[in-house]
Amino acid sequence: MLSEKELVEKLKSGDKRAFETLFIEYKDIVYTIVCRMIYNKNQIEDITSDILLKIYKNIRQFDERAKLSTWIYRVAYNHCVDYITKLKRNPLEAYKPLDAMFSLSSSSPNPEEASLKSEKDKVLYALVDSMPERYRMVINFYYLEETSYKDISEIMGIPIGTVKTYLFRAKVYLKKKMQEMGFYERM
Amino acid sequence: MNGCREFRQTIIRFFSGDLAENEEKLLNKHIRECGRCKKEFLFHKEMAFMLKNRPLSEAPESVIEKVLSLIPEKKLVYAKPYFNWRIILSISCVAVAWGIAVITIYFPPPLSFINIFVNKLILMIIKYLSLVKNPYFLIGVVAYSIVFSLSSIFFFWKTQVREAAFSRI
Repeated sequence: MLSEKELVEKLKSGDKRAFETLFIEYKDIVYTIVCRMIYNKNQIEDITSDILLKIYKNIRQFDERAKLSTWIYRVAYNHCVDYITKLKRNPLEAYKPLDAMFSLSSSSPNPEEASLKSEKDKVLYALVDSMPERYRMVINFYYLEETSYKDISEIMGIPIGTVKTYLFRAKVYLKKKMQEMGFYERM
Repeated sequence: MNGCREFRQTIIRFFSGDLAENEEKLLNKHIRECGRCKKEFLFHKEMAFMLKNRPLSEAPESVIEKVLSLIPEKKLVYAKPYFNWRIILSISCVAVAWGIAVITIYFPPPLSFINIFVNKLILMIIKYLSLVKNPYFLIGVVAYSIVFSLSSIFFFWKTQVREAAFSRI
């Protein structure tokens, strides 16, 4: 098993096997980030491939002072943000994100939904997915591999204080919505 | 009631790992005494658990295969030179040395102990060179210096060539 430093060295030297190892390790996380950011489900695979290719092309720009995972999340996040921005500029391609509740009864469900355990989980995840992008991604990154505030701030390019505020507001919002939907009695 | 309202905010911050030790102690004490805040605490605990355990989406293998098919096997290709502080320092030193040399030729400094020594040395070299009957010798020295400098630059450039294939895609 290679250490992160050794892996990065091999990656920077263009070793194809090292990239294969990296992609196997991070493909699900990158795919998950894309799933949680992009509503257009037909594009998810292509966007994930584009991100992996971007990682390959830009690996030499990786500054080893940061964690490799943080850098990969940042590449994925920025790529998705660029994609969303591009869609917004093209109203024919862009469409309104699925409402959380519609996505629950959709005939083409989110790839994650197949393995969900309970209705409560489904509703909570749907509510997270229906939040504005910044709140959604702060809460997703926070619970994804337990990313630290500092790392989230680096990934999203926002101050740590803002990360904390978004996380706080997102939790307040989720609690309120869950109560409104009757999953928890009012306290 | 106001106390409870504040504690409810503290509960959210607790599950973000954002509480100081004394705040945590106060919260612990309060939720042992207040049933409603305890309920709120358990709600956030369950929510944190659900979010933490949200399953990752499984990427299809085709995603990796597609990217790997575009990546060439490891080959020796020229990669764009990269600059770090050592290289920039070396280049700056050379530039400064040349600058000093040019300035010294055009504006000779007043004689000091070191200058007298350097002057003597230069005069000695000139005297030696003037003894050489064949002027081609001097041309040879200059040509040698140029070749030496160019080969140094070439070897420096070679160190910048890496095993990489980044320019292929």
